[in-house]
Amino acid sequence: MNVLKNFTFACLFLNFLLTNDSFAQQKVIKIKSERFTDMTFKSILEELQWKYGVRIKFAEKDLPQQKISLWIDNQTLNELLETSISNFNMDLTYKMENPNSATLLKKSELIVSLKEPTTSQFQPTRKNFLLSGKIIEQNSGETLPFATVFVTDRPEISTQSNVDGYFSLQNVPSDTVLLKVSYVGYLSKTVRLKPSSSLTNFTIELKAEPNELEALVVEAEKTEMVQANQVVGMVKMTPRNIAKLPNVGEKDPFRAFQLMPGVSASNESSSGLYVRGGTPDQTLVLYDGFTVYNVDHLFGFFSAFNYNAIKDIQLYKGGFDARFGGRISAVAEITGKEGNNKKFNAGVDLSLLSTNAYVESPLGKNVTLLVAARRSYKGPLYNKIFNKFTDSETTTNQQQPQGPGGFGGRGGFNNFNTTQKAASYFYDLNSKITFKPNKKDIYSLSFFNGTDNMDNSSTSSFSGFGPFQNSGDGLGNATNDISQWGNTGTSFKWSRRYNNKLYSNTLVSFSNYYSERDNTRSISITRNDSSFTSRFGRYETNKLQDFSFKTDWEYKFFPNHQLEFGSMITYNQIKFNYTQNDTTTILNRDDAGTLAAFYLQDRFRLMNEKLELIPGFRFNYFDLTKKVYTEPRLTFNYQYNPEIKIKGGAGIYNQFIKQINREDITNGNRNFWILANGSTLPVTQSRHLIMGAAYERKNYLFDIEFYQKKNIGITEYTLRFVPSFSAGNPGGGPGGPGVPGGGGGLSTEETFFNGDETIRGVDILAQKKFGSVTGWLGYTLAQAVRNVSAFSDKPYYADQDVRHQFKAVATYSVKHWDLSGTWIYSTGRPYTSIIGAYDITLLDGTTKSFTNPTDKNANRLPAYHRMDVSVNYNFKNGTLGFSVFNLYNRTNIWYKRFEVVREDGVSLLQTTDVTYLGITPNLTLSLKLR
Amino acid sequence: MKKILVFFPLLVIGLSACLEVNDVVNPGDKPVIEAYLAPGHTVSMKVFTEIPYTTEDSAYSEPISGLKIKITGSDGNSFYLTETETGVYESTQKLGVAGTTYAMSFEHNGRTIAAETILPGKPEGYSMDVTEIYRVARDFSSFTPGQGPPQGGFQQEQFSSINLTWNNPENLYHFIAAQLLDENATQIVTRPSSDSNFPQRPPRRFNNQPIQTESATVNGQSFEYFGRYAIILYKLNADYAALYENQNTTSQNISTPVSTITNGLGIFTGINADTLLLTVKRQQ
Repeated sequence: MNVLKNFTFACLFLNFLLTNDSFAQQKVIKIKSERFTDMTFKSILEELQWKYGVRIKFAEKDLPQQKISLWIDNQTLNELLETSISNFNMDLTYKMENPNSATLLKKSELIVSLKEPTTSQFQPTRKNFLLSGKIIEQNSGETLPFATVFVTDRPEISTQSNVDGYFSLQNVPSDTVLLKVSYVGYLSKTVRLKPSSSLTNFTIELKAEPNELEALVVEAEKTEMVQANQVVGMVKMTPRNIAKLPNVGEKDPFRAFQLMPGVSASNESSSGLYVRGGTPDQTLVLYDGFTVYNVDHLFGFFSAFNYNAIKDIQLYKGGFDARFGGRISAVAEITGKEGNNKKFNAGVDLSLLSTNAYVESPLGKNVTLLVAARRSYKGPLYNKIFNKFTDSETTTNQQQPQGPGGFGGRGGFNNFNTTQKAASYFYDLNSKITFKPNKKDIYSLSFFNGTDNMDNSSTSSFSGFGPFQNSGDGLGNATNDISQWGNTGTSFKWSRRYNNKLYSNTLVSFSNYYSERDNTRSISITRNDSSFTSRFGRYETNKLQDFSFKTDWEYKFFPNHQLEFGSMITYNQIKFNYTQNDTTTILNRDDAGTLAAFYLQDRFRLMNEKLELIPGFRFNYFDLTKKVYTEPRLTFNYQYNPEIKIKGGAGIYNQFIKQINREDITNGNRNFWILANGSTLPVTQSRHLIMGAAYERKNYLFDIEFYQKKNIGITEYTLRFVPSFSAGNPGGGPGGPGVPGGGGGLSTEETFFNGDETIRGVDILAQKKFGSVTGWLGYTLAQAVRNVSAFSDKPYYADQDVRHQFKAVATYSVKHWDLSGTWIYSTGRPYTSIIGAYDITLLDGTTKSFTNPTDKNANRLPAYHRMDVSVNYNFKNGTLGFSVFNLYNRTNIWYKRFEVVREDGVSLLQTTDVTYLGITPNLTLSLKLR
Repeated sequence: MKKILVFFPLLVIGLSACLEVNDVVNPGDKPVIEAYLAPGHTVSMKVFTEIPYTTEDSAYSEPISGLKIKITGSDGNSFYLTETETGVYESTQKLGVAGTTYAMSFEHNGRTIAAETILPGKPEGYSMDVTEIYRVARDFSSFTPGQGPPQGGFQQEQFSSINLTWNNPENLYHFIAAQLLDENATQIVTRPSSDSNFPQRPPRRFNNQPIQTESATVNGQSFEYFGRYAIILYKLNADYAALYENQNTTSQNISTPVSTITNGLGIFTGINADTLLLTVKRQQ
């Protein structure tokens, strides 16, 4: 802390010396009541100089020509310039030399003049050394993870701060060089090293982009919304800037990632990340080190991540390094905020959907705390989304002759009471407490809990009707339609910086995911004192627990080399139970498995530091298959010149736990996790190959990446049951664990089909990084083809296969306003249609309808497209935002439903398009103390 | 650099290279079969087409006529079915005892449609705790919704339930159905004449689902008529139970209907049953 204070003081002192020696003594001139009518700004300034003796330097060509009218009343020169530049929206800014003297500049020129002098006033005293320190946020003292530091004239000498904000930059040429530090969402900063700078504890403070644009903000110092060209396949985002994007209720970091090329944006019913033809379960989601197994809120319309609690998110779209494992598609690494270590702060976001509040504060000298919580309320917006995702349920239930339908008529008593429960909500809580007892150690405890309770149940009873009231008899009929799911995760992390060459990060974590789907009807009969209950329908539960220990080490053992190694062990226990009608257990799994992994990788530079190579190995041992899985990885970056970079990566990735994603909320659990067992559920393996190039100018970035993924051991799930033929065949065929002693039972292991998959594609990004208009165009051409022989003779397009996807994102900032718009176009997803349908008469005389599907995914839905817009007004302590989702009310098809309807005794087929959300406006008010 | 530039277009070509993928929808041509085979009974089998999925309005299921269907039993008996009405094929010969396996086959559209099933054994130890129940007649014919209960209020009625038990050591599938035996039976509840606010007239039978237990309870309120009911306990093969499995009829996760029929759809399964009688009497 002392170092920090000294440093700040030194800066201030230096600033004082350099600016003006007589600053303090000078009397501030105030301009009395003056009125100028229809004059040019130039003549006004000239008159003021002459009358009051203030000094204003300017170049005539920079000043606007139009005539203005101005009324000045008791203002200083500073106030005068600020109001007139802002009121007349002039393309000018100014520097105060002293209170009575200013220089007017075009905004673009100020960038040049603000630059550090090109040479240092000192002579270098130290050469070719290792510089280490940390990067923090200026106002809150929050450390900034994964920020980039480089030597300005040698951009290849660069490094990234680690998860705790510490960095070590090797081979710094001298202690007088200029360093540039940039962090997405923050103003970049140039810092010159001085002979007096500490080389082991060099602290750099970055400033967040202010909400209210200050007069002195210049274009080039505006911040990027996302950063896409640091490492192959990586996109980085700070939640701060996504607030500008249109939102429906919640500012959602995962929805913002979906606007990048390579991440599918057309799944309104899942906020999970479909990265480069992969499915959400193939994306490892780490929050402060623990794995989050379910990211959905409100049927997937939002992600479970609260942007108020998040400091940084990095998404690796493929080719990720050996530090990560256990997933085959992508990694989303989320770092939670530590909380303000300087002052107490609090804020609240109110929208038509939910309330989101947070507090952060230092607790004593070394401890900081952050707590953020959200809860939805059943407002019109909530209901609109909720109904969109549950409406189909009612209709589908009707055509299923499950449940007590056949007891039709209920004896003719139709005058029963019906109550509809209204208990649906989601909430989440994030909290983190960080303890920094000294300069070397950081302890932090992070906790996350999120729950969704979607209840569409109803009950009815005969009580209170006629004579039954007194008889003690009653008939109750309850329809349960409950989806509940939630996550709890916690991690305790210990980071230690042994010296500027060795850093370690060790954590223990626990993560729990549960999901319960109750789609049953129960009928209870009460007769005098005894009651009978019969239950129909399905009931599913999935419980997953994850206990992990992880340790990661960085060791700069040799100039130009950074060795990274570590190990982890995860114990997973997964229970899945699926019962029908209280009696039949269809699937009952209770699996446990341990995955242990060790990795080793080296980051080094060759060819005059232009080529960065990261070769690595990861070794996994999975106890259910009793096998070792070796995963070689390699990524490289070649800085051909300061503007052109060539990058690539390759690696083998294994996944030992998979999610069976049904996406089909009408018929059961949306998704459940299961562990691979090596036989019926193989370990999925993917081989990545990525090649790309980037051309980066000061304000623009063009980036292209080609990728190919070959996956083996992918699992498809279908509710197709394969019954055994002979009654009395004990065990019901190969059903094994699924069916309890079922003579002639139904085999359910057969519901998993395995095969392989090839994904190819190219992601193209053109980004305008800075300026009053920023944004990007993204395009993805891709193909995902699966080959599951038991499922289909021919290969077929995977469910998430989308040929073309185009995204346009633009934000225009002017004064207090941010206007932004996004447009998404996506080829429709493939679906399985039907050839026909038929009725079968059952033994009790009722009929049941069946549909007969076409080949798997032989059809394609129409294209998905949508435009969202938003306007935000920023003021000192907050933002007022208005957004419209699906502006032109496009009817996007989610899926199709096929029903057999009977008209005049003839059975006919009816197809219904179930659509996504139409035009939806939302209002958000965000307030904060500071 | 040059090599990479060559590599990129190659990848693009790779993307567009031809690949035989499911992208054609073939019309359905599988016949649908419906046949329940019981020991000691004749065979009755319906064969019809699917309702085709077309944009045309007039798409419906039609019976398939003129088939030559052969039934072969594991007891050595084999015979052909005769078409008694369009699309309905029956045998004159009765089937053999439980445990016999029967195979069926015929030619249609150049394919052999075939299926095989076993006749299950008779349900064992089937018993019912009552043979008659009493219900109170209700007359709603003058009842108008929203105007309160009919004149005179209600006579109190005891809830009755019928407990059924049987032996099932092997956890085989059983299924209970009730069938009204009397023609022109009187309805227990006379429904209001203006029916718009009420469900359709109740069916004469009620259904539930195949179960693997040894007992079941039937609620006395389920019966709609005064008179004699056959309470039938079926013993079933698993393929019948599979018909009750959840059907996904949305494009998100459409399921192939379960069928043990080669080149065909529907059900061809052996059943066996035991029947007990129940009388629903009028409570005075």
